[in-house]
Amino acid sequence: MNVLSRNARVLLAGVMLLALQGCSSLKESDYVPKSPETLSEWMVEGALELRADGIKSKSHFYFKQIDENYELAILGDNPVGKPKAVILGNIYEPENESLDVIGGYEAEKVAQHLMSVMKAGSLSYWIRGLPATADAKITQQGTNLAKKIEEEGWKIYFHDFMSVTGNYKLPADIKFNGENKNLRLDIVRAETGYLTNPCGQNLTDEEIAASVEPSGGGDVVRTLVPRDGSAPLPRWIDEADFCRQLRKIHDNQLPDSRVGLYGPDSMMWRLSGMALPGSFGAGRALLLQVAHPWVTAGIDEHSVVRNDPLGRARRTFYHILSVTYGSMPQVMASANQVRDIHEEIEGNLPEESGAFARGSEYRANEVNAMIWVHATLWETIVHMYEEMEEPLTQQEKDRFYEETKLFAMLFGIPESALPADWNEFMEYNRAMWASPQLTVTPAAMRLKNDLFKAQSIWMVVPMWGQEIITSAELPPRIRDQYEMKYGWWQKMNYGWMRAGAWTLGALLPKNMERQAVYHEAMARLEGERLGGINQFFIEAFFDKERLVN
Amino acid sequence: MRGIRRWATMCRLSMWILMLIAFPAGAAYDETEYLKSEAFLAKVYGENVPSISLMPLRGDTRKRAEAALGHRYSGLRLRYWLQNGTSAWIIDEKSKDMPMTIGIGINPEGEIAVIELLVYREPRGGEIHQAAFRKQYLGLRLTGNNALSGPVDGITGATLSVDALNRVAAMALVLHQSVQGETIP
Repeated sequence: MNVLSRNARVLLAGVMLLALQGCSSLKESDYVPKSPETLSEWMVEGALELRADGIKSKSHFYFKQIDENYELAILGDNPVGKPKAVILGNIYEPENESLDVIGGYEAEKVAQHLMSVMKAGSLSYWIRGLPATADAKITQQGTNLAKKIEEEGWKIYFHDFMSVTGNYKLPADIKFNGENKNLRLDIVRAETGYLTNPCGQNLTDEEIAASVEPSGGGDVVRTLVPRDGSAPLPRWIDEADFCRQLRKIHDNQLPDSRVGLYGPDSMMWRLSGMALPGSFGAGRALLLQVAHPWVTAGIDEHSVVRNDPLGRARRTFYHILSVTYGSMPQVMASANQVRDIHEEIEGNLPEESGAFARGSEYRANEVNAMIWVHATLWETIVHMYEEMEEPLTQQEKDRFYEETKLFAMLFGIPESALPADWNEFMEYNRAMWASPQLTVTPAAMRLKNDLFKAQSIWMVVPMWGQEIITSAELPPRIRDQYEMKYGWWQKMNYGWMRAGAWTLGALLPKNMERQAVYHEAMARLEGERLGGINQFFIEAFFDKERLVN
Repeated sequence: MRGIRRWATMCRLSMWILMLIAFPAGAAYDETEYLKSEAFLAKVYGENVPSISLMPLRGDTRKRAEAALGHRYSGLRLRYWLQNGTSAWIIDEKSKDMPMTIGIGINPEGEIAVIELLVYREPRGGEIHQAAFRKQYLGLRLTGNNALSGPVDGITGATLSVDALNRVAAMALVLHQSVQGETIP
């Protein structure tokens, strides 16, 4: 009976245990998607293969709709190139489709072949899993998920769906069967909003135009950190201020919507793309943030973080990574969602906390507090990159800091409120570390304890390690306020952790040096799906099928 | 040489396992599905649910619907169900930063007959699904300024969700009038 040795059984049990733990987070959780009928600005891209009239046509394509106007672009062999032919139309005038040929006979042939078998206007519905007319016969496979549509002589089968921004699920694999004709669409990715307008739905152009950009000038650092240790004057960010900054970025500064804010040549992708500095610095950045009493009060009184600290960390990094690596519509979606979350966070400080009086008003959408949250991210990234990878030149730091200003503007912070360059930015950070604005309150202590508390037995060692790393890297005054030790025991452990990290870094395959979201963004730039181990990491950590693809 | 390679392989394997176990389990979606759309339609129509109708949201109907909603509606058309003067609508509307899905049935007299929260996607504010709260909407009609004909008592901690439900209820009443060909009272 003893087929397996004792050691083999122990090993098998261990593997099964790991598999059970792992399987709980292997794939994105299921959810009820929003109806794709609510999309008015959207696009999908992929490849098509049409067989009809004895002819076979293949091409990459994108389908884009802005309100009632749509365009189906034939791209040829290149998944991300410029359109070679475009079918244009209006959903309310299905008979008036036109073809605009830009680049060649082959593309024109594909477009005409497609036009001979269906209206692109009908495709604008089918491609989202919707019926084009009320005469369609629909079979559902779940709420807002079609399984089969029979309409206009086609039997349309939806084999796979992809989760995309905004709680939508759109078809990823569609087969059209008709009499002596069939079409297959393999959809790679989609955008679900913010294609033409970066702001939400509540403001008119006049209201945005009427909001005034604050004038610059003066000593920015001393405005943010007054010499006498008092609190800075609050500067609230309303929706018009927020939208004005978004429009500046959307309309003027960035020509390529697919690339997003930064792109592979940026310092931002170079520094934040490395897996180890980011993971080693996460605790430092979070504890520096919650050393600010306004930030702590906002989290403590309005967030579910007390029950789910890792969930809060996951949501925070989800938005940071979406803004850093997302396409422009994904960036704008994330910025708007963060603003919506922040809008409800306001209150009065429950106790005197360093520079801030008891009862003083706080809001999440406030310039001083938001600049501090941003500063913790960028200062920590540079600090950890230089510690773990290589030193940066002054020029590189200045370039990186210029890039971070775009990120700040996405949260409504005017450029004039920010330190001018890297040196002034570091002067601001040092002034804050010494300022009573950073005061670890009892609520901040609770958050710190929650953050490092292992949620399961599997997390005991990682959390213990993260606490030691954070203790080592925090500015000493803040570390002391958090009552974190950094004696010989912690120094010794941090020493072997860094050595271990360095060894792992040396052993890792080159493509694993960079974090999964970086690879996902690179796949988007090439018009591909992610897949593989990086897809697994994204679903396992973020519980999302995709962040920036 | 073989020893070093074996050690490197072991290191890699250990790292994979460490990464696997370090990932936090648990869903990223705070979502509760209170009622499936089929069950909502059965509440409105019983066993004989009509087939889907489609309404392009354009012109005056769009203006009135958006006035009731308080902002631009992002879709271009709406799916609805209509039988013997009773209409049913399933509408998504943002409560805080995520959409909730609401089902509303309106009788031939233009009064709310059924109102259900189908899906709620926020961690807080889902109390609006409680029957005692939703009961306040039954019998409400549309006023001349595209508002509800009676007051609805709010719920502490669910202000945004209550506001969103009020707006969607008013919008559904506007849409009902539109499919019935009614004019503003």
